[in-house]
This record gives sequence, structure tokens and C-alpha cells, in this order.
Amino acid sequence: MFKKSKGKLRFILLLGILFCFFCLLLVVPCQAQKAPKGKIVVVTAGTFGITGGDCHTASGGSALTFVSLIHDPLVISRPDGRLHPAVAKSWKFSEDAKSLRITIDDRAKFQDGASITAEDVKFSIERAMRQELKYVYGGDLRQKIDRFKILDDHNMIIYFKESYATFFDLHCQYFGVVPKAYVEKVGDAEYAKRPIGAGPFRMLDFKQDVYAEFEAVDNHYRQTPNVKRVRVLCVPEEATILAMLKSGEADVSTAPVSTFMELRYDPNARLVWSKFQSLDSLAFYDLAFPDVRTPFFDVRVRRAASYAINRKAICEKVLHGAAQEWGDILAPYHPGVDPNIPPPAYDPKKAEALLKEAGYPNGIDTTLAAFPTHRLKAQAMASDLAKVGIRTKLIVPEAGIYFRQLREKAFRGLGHHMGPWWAGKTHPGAALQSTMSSKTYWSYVTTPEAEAEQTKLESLTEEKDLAVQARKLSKIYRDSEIRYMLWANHIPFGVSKRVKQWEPNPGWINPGSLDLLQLVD
Amino acid sequence: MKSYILKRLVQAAICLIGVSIVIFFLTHISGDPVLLMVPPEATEKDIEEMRTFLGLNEPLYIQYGKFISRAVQGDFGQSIRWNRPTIELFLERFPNTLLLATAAMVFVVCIGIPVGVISAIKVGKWFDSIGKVFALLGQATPVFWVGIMFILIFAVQLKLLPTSGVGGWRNVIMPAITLGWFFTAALTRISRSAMLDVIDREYIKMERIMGISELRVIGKYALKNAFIPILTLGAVNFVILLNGAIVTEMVFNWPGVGRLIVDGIFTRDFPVVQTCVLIASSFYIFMNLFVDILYAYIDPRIRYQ
Repeated sequence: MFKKSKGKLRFILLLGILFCFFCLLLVVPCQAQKAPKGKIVVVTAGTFGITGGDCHTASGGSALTFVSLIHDPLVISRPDGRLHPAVAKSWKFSEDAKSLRITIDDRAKFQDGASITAEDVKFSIERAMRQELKYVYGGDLRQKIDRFKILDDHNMIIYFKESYATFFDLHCQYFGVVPKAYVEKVGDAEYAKRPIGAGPFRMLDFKQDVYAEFEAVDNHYRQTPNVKRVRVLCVPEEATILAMLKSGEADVSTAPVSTFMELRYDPNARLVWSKFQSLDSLAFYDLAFPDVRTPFFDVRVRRAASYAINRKAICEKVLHGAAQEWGDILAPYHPGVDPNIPPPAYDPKKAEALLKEAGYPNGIDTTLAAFPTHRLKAQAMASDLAKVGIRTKLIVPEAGIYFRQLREKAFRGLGHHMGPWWAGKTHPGAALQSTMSSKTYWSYVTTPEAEAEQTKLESLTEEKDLAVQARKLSKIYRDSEIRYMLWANHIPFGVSKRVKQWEPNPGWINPGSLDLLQLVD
Repeated sequence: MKSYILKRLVQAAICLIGVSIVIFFLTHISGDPVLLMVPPEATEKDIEEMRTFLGLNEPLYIQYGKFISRAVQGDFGQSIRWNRPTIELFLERFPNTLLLATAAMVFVVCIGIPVGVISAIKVGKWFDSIGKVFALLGQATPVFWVGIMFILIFAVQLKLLPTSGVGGWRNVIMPAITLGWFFTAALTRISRSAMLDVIDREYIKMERIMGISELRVIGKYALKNAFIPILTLGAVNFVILLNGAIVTEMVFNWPGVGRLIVDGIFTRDFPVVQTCVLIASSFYIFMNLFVDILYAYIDPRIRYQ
């Protein structure tokens, strides 16, 4: 009798364990594949910067948001400031960075269910190179891509004409892998209207520079989004964006530069930051014209100008914390960065003494050029400079004219200069390219030594080597004193109280990584 | 009459050619679109390649010749930014502008005329004083300020209306009132002065002596005669509303032609700006042509001058 009941007890216990085991089997996948829910409204300023949903027409700016929703690049930038596998599961550069072997994730699929193959990747890169599509880095690809070797469906080698270690960094934001068969079937114009990508959201509806509607892809190979629907609106007026954030009509938005402080005390919204977007510097445009000697050819006068500027006060009082003093040419997400390098000091007395020592006891008259959206910063700088005797005439042309004058080297005297454009690029070679290379008009003034080291930096792939070379370049640049660092710019985003968790990618000027956003339950 | 119309048509065509030249050269001297399209890392080679591809390295008069020869065939070119025909972009946005202008016109007519008429009837009384203040405020306050104040009060504070964008009828209310605000004030003034001019006439006095009710005198005899300047101003205002909604469209994020032009200017998308401004100018020119012909039809003295 006792034996019988013991056996029964064991049987019941076994049944109970089996029941718990089956329950676990059911529950675990449910948690892993949590269904997306809820809807958010994302606001971007300016234009969408993309034709329809075609990533290979992305011209910059707001296209970041679009591309990151619909498309997946080979590797992806995330809020931790590092590159992670996306379509490419693994990759390996050759030692000279002239070829790149890629293994495609065999789980990676387009939104129509088709698997992504090496042919699709080759087609996508070749398509991005087509001039008529005007992909923002199309020129770079045309200049550097040599040929492709497809080993099998998931393995390929890309051969470059020259070292191209910055390939992933330049093509992880606006570039996406597109389905060859579908694009060839429907054509470019139709593809822009009804795009299929490998990203975590599919596009449902679109009106150029007005709105776009997206829906989460269930069981996405990389990251199933937490939010079911995303509506992206293009709103040009800053006051309207602010009103939308305050009234709860927008959930995520680039906060208006002039009014973001208001959100600090708003019960309906909060601020989050995309830190270290770019570096502002004090440039001496005269140095680009060695035949015309001006006071700025004397390093003491240049130092005086740097000592005159109260960076801390400008960051706190004029920029309200949207910038911080910074002394390195590298951002915190770059290998080799030294956060202990102090920003150039503020010492107006020393500035006056240096001017006197250089032979200018009565000060000097010059010009100070700035981009229109940076007028306030430039005005504050001009005021500081005037206090020590560097009297500047402020030149703030309209954006298009500014670019033209910069390219034609029409500016003289001083400049509030934008750059390097870190923009979240993790390879320091990619992040410093626009500032160090004399081939780009943004650099305005550079030194042969810095340029040679930059070329070397661009060919490195190993993090350890990158750190050493980047640090070396940073020192060369600081020692050259052709420019002085001012401050690192941060981008404020307004987020509604409906959003529980969202972190922007560091250095990105527009909202990204929206697949990771979580709403309040 | 035929020769008069022909003469007017030739004048309109010359005017359009003049406008196209001015628009073309003004937009092209304003800057280089390529520099706004390429990234900071772009080399001189990239920039030159893109300029050649877009045909911007050709002399301006050749670029203009190509533009005008295509335009007369109805092809206004492709947007530099969006690789789409500019006329397609214009037509996509025009219904929104038309809706906004019509809604604003309804507001202008429904408020401007009654306030002006009642002010004239009650001249010197409190209603007239309020009407005059209303007209003065309407013409003195800037449109963008009115728009932002409306958003702050009705959308952010009271949460009665959406802040911006298109959608349902609630989205139209604030932009329509903002856009119509200035013109309502103008119509109030013109209605008031036109009515004041009419109600002192002998035939109105005669109607009153004959014992006809005041409502009938005002509604049937006075208003009918005061309507000519009101109608003229109203028609002209409608065209201005169609073409002049830029600020309102920007503040309320209304996706109309005005916003398209502003975006085109900022991005140096020459074909888009040229197309929109040329069509807007055509509206003016043809509206004037239509009015001229109508006047000539009504008043024979004009066509014999």
C-alpha cells in the first residue's frame, strides 16, 4: 500500500516537472520575441534628405533617421558608440586595408522574406556609386572601389584601389543593402516609393518632406523593435517643434537649438543628448595665404586670440550646456582619445601681454567669419576678442554663400570653424578626414606633416594601432597651433514622457536606433 | 476687341519671359547646390564631377536656353535633390495650398464684410470703434507672431486644436485664421469705407423716405452698390493668399507650395524654385489679363483707348 502510494507520488511529481518544463518552453520564446506595440511620432527638422525610402539617394541630415528605420547596413552604429554586426556577421580587412572579406549573416533577410546574398551587397555598393542617385558618399565609393569577388552566397571580398579602412564608418549611417531582384524588377523611381530593405521597420506610406509611416518587422533577424508604428514628420519651424513636444504631439525630436532650455523644466518632455557631434575651433584663415603676411603669422598673436576666449562661459551662458570645453581633436568614442588634455586656457591678461610682445600694443583689426546658425557663438567670441584688443568685424553669410566662400578660400582673418565632423564615426581616420586632408575644402589650412599622418591613420584597422596613430596626429595638430580647439558640440533631443527608454547614437545629429526605444507600459 | 485681347496676350507673354529670366538668373547667382549636397569629406574632384553631372559648369545662358526650351513643352525639369519632375512636386503640394487659401478666404469674407458693413452703419458707435481697432491690429501684427500665439494658446495650453500639420478639419482652423487675419482687416476697412460712401447717396436716402425697412435698404440697395471695390479686392486677395502663404505654411508645418519654395531656396534646388515661382507669376499675369479683358468688355471706352 505504502509502496503503491510512493510510486503514485513519484508519478505526480514527474508530471509536475514535465508540466513546468513545457510551461518554460512556452514562456521563454514569448519573452524573447516580445511583440512590438504602441506608436511614436518622431519629428525631424529641415527636409527628409532622401528620395522616398531609397537609401542610395540619402544626402545627409534627416536621412539618418529614415535609413536606420528601413535599411540595414553591413555594420551598424549603436548608442554605445561602437560598430556592431548587421548584414555582415564578420569581416576582416587585409593588412594594407586594400581588401575586405565579408561574411554575411545567414539569418539576414529583407522585409519580403528573401535572404540577403553577396550578390545583393555587391549590387547595393555598385548602385550607391551611381552618380544620378546622389548618394552622399557616392564620390568616395567611385574613387575607392576597385572590384568584387563573390566566393559564395554568404562570402565575398571587396578590393579597393587604395587603403579604405574607413569604409564601414563612412557607410554605416546612410548606406543600406537593397534587394537586387526587387530593385531591378521595379526600377529606381518605384523603389523609392515602395522600398524594401533589411531594417527593423518597413515603410507603409510616404509624402516627400511631409510625413512617413513605418511598421515594425516581426521577428527581425537582428532586433525586433519594441514599438509597432513610427510616424516621422518633417517640421521646419523651431517654435512649432517646441510646441509639439510641449503638447505631447511629438515623442522624439531634435530639440530646437534656440529654445531647448525650455524643455528642462517641462513636465511633458525631457532632454536626452547625443554627445560629441563635432568640434568647433578657432581658425586662422590668413595662414592659407603665406604670401600676404598678417599679424596671425606670429604664433604669439594666435595664442593671444586663443587666450582671449572664455570657452567655459560661452558653453554655459550662450550655449546653455549644449557644448563643453574640449582640448583633444578626438572624441571620447575614438581610440587614442585623451580626456585629460586640458582645453586651451582663458587668460585675457596673458593675451594682452602677448599682443604687446608681438608688437601690437594697440591691438589689431581683423574679421571673424562664422556659419549663420553659429552667429551667437561668434558674437560671444568677438566680444571676448575685443576685450584684449583684437577688434573683429563679424562676417556671417547665408549658408550657401558661406560654403562657396569657404571653398573659394574667400575668408581672411579669423574664423569660428566647424570641424572635425566626428558625427559618431568610430574610426578616427574617418572622423578627422575633412579637417586634415588638403583635398577637402573644409580643411582650409592644414600642414603637410598632419596630412601625411592622417593618410597613415586612414589605412589602419587594428584598434591598438589606431590609438597610437590617432594620439600622434592629435599631438602634431595641437603643436602646430594653426587652430585652437574651442568646444565639443552636443545635440539635444526632446523626448516625451511616454518614452520610457531611448538613447541616441553618440554624435548623430538626428534620431537613430529607434528599434531600441521603449514606451511606458 | 480681338486686337485688344491679342495685344494683351502678347504683353502677358513678354512679361512671362521677363519673369523667367529674372527667376533663372537670381536663383543661379545665389550659390552652388553641389556644396550643399556633398559631405564635408568630399574632395574637389567629387565636387567637380557632380557639377558636370548636373550641367552646372555650362554657361548660364546655355542653361537658361535649355530650361526655357523644355519649359515651353511643359517639362520644367527634374528636382536636383529628389530626382523627380518638379511639376510633379508642385502638383503634389498645390491642393494643400488651395485648401488653405480657400479656407482663409471663407474666413476673410465671413468676418471682414459683416464687420465692415456693421461698422459703417454704426459709424461713431462702440461697434465701429472695436471694428477699427480690429482692422488696425489685423494689419499691424505680423503673421508669424499671430500663428505662434494661436499655437501656444489653443494647442499647447488649451489643447483644443493640433499644433500643426494636415489631417482633419481641425488642422485647417488655425492656419486659415492666421493666413486670413491680415486680409480680413483689409477687407473690413474697404467694406466700411465703401459702405460709408454708398449710404450717404441720395438714392439711399430716397429708399428710406419711401419707408423701406433699414435691413432691406442696407442689404439690397447699399451693399449691392458697395460690392464692386469689395469684390475687386477679394479676387486679388485670393491670388495673394494662394501665393503668399509661405510664412503660415512654415509655422503650421502645412505642406503647401510655399514650403516647397522655401526648402528649394535653402537647398538651392533651382528647378523647383523656378517652376513654383514661374507658375505663381503666371497666376498673377493671367488674373490681370482676365480682369483687363473683363473691364474692356464692361467698359467699351477702355478698348478704344
